[in-house]
Amino acid sequence: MTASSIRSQLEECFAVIFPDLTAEEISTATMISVEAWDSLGTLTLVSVVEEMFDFQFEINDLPELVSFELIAQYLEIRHAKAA
Amino acid sequence: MDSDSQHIVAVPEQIAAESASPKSEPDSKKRVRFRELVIALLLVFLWDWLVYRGGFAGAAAFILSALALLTCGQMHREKAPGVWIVLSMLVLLCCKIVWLGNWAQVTAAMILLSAYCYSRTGQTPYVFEVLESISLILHSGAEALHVHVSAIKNQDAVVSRPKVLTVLMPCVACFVFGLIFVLANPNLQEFLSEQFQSFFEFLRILFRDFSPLEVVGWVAVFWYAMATLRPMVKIARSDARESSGATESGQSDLYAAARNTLVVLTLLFVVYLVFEFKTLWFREFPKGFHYSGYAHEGAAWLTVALGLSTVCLSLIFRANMQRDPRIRKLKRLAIAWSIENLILAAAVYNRLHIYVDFNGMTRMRIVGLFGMLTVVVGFVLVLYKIDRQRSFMWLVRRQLWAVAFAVFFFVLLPIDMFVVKYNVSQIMAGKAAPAVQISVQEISDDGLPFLLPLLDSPNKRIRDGVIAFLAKRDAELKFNLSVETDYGWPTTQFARRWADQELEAKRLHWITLDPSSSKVQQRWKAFQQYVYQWY
Repeated sequence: MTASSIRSQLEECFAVIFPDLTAEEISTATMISVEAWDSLGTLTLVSVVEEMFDFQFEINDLPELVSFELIAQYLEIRHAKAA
Repeated sequence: MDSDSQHIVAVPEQIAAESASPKSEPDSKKRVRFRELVIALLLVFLWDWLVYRGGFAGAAAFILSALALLTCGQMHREKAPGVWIVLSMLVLLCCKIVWLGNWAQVTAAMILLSAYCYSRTGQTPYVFEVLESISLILHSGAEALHVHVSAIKNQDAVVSRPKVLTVLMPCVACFVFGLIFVLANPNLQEFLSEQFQSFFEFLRILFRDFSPLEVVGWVAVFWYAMATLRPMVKIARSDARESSGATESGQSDLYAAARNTLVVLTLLFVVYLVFEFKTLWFREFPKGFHYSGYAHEGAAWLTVALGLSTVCLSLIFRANMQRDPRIRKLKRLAIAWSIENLILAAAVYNRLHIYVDFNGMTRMRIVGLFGMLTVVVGFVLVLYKIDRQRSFMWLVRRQLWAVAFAVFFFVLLPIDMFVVKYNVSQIMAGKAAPAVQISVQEISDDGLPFLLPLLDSPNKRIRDGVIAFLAKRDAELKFNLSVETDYGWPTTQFARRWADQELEAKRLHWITLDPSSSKVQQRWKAFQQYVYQWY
């Protein structure tokens, strides 16, 4: 799985949870910039991402997942380690 | 002074003076004023809706409504000099109650409301006199009700036809024309229908949840309203200067005793202050130092000493001593001793600082600081009293005001916000000891957001403990917010909404944790055991 495919799949997850966001807004989305993105939104997003990528996040890592970019980097690192 | 709706209970000297020319009791005093009955009933309704079935925001709204209604209902136009101060204090306190309320604040607000109503009779709201007027509420209420019942029995309350029409005609006209407008607009009909349904639902819930305790509340509020609208006011005794009645100077028999007492106390204080400085200032305290003995109990005893000094000075410089021609020498001794007392006050603050520096700030230590400040103010008032030859009554009234202001500021200020912020800043600076206060002290909702920096603490046990604590408290916060949503605005507490917003930024640290789970319980217990060493 390449970095670009990880990001495009992540964009799909975001589009499911935040249907009002455009593709451009998704790539720059953060918890602060997206009003609908609160802590419960993060949990929902996490469960969708886990289902999409077939793995589980560490609970202690959740506080770090506050933007699209950070989540994407997290997934790329995890994928690289798994490979 | 308008005597329509107040009784003046004159002091005995005035009764004797007035007995030579008796006045007939004004008929207006016996007249029923339906406005008073309407206001009293309105207050009963507001109390039931906003306080009994509401919450703290409702209580604040009730107090402000009572302020407005009682102001309209009372006939007094006189205002004592302090009335605006009392009014400002009351409004500020109501704002705090809406932010984050408790029953101590509501009690203080009700006392301030009574003080405001008292000051509208033209009397200065001295603490003792206000409390006395509150104690007369039972009597005042009974008198007021007696007036109304007697007037109705004697048919003095018969309302003339023109007066009835003054109210009835506009009501009927408004109803008729309003009804026509509603019938002409289907959306208005729908709106009104919804409002009526809400009203009947409100009545249904009212009768479903009715309890006998509510009736007790109704009677109490009605009585309080009647008593406040027709208060019994004792004319406050004058606190004129002590020298006002004195024309001749004369040596006091107790001059020598007073002089020797001041000399001995001055010397004793010198010795003690040297000891205090040597033992408790500018030094590192060893492990095992008895902090609570010196700082906690010791500070309390020294505060008692300062209070006693205030009493001593008051007793020494009484009226007959003030007329002694040797008073100047005595005053010089008193000034020297007073300076020592102020240094002693600094020593008490130092002891409190030692304790706070050891294991953090708490509400009770804030009480200690306020208490000390009140004692110092009281001491300064004594010095002023001696210098300006004020009476003992003057001194007591001002000192009671100092206590009242201290209590007011304690209930008004967001103490927990300050306490938690201070303790967290100490922990983040490397002193772990204040963490024990998170374990053992209660933290109000507006103090919770100030714990968030500890989530970045390098100490893992503190981090885990705070996460467990916030997991539990966040669940309670969410529950209380849901209650506010269910029960409406009278239960609003803005501090909770603010805390919820602030905690949201870091909620991911604990949102997946079940507060009742063994994992959270273990983390919390581990934290408590760790911090107990500093208790």
